[in-house]
Amino acid sequence: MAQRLDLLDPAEVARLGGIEIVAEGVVEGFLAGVHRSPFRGFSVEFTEHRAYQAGDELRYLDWRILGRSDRLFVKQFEEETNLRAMILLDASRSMAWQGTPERLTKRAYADRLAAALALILLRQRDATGLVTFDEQVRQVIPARVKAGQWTRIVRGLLDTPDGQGTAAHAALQRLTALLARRGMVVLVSDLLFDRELALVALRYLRHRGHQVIVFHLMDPAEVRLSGPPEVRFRDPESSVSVVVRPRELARAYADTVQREIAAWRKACRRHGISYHHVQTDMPFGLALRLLT
Amino acid sequence: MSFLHPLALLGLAAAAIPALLHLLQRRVPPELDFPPVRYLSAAERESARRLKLRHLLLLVLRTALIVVIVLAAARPLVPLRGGGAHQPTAVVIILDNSPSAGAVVSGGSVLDRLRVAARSSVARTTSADRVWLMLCDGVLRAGTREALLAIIDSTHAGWQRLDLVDAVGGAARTVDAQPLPGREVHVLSDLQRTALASGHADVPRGVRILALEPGSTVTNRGIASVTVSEGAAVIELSGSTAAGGDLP
Repeated sequence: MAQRLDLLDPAEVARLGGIEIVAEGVVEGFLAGVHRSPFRGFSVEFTEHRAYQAGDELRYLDWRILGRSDRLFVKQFEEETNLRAMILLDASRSMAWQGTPERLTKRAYADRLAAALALILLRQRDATGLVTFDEQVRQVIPARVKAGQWTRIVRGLLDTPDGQGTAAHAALQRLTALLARRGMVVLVSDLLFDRELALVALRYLRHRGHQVIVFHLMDPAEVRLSGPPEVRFRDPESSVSVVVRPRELARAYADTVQREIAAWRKACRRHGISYHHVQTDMPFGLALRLLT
Repeated sequence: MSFLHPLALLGLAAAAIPALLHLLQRRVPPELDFPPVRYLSAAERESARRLKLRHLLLLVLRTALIVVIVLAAARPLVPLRGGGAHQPTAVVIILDNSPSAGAVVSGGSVLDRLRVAARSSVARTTSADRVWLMLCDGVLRAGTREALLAIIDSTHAGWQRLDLVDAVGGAARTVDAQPLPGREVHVLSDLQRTALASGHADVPRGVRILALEPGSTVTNRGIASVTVSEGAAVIELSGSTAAGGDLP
């Protein structure tokens, strides 16, 4: 029996090939394991206008154009879709970090998770888009359900270099303006930014009627502190550094991390946001299953 | 307080080793990227006081350990009951000035060390105490503290053998006869086997015997043979054994 890629170690799966191959393999395994479509929603995919012809349903008449130009146009829709989803991927420098060379960087894991998620959504005819950001919005691929959309999303992931710092709240606030139509928003990030400021943007999305899902990515080495007897740890984004003895500080650090995770979970729950903590050694299939 | 080996106190300089090691080991630590430094800073802020206290406690413990080892090596002589605040006591100080006390060990004679201990015993006494000094001759010498100190200072290694069993027995009987609540016999001897040869001393109940020996072993030598020829005597010394060994 062939092994299901979605349940294997992410680093091993990643060695099989590029993002497309990994995502396709993961999705094949994942969909083989679920008995119904994991996501529910509704949306329609607008494509173009055409001149009104006798017999067209009046409900598709574009009243705005009629009001502005006194001409009759009807809206055409490509196909009905279940959902309109936008994946927001944190491409800041902190995401390009891995605890050991044997594991994927958080960014590599996020890319593959996002690609797999997009493929699942597109296969069930859900309009899916991608936004990558660090301190600024880097890539915007609008949500579509057209053929080739997944390739565009994968290319968008590949074309986004590792960024600099993460003033994510600023980028998230700009994103809220881009996500005018109601749908599902999936944020994939290590959440190493100001929680309150980021929550303002997420709350706003929620207020606008979006279903908001947060994937909090962490490397296992970020959860359990280890290292040489004495070491200077430096934040690659801010260059702030601190000298510590990992063995002495391990317990206090673990407590702090657990408190931070709990705080994110609690804040998200309070505002109706789904929060999922994912470590980069978790098989992709298990991470995707958190959404079902 | 006095010490049997005051030179060992030079080792107290070693108490600075933990602090010096701490300072010398402050090398530049390796630098690693670690994105969640903000969590580290928070954890460090929360446990800073606990860690500082722990480091300080460790430093104090390590320093104290060295100090204790050095002090132990210096053989401190401390008052038995809180530095002079003791009950009136009858004390006999037996100072062994037998020939073996003249042996030189580590640059000083055994008798010198015994003298230091004897002076310390006398110095701890008060006007409420009764004090005697006994040398190898077995004679009890009474007197003021100054007089006894003078005798101690002028004592030299003699030719007589000290019979510790007799001496302790006699001293114990003397202090036991005194109407004082405390009764002690201080034995300051190199504890040669010959001094302990004649069995057990009979010590009355309530008499405390405090024995101090100089702490260094002394190689014993004996006359193995004497050959007289042509008006000259050839003396052969026997092999060496430690104090208390088979040979006297």
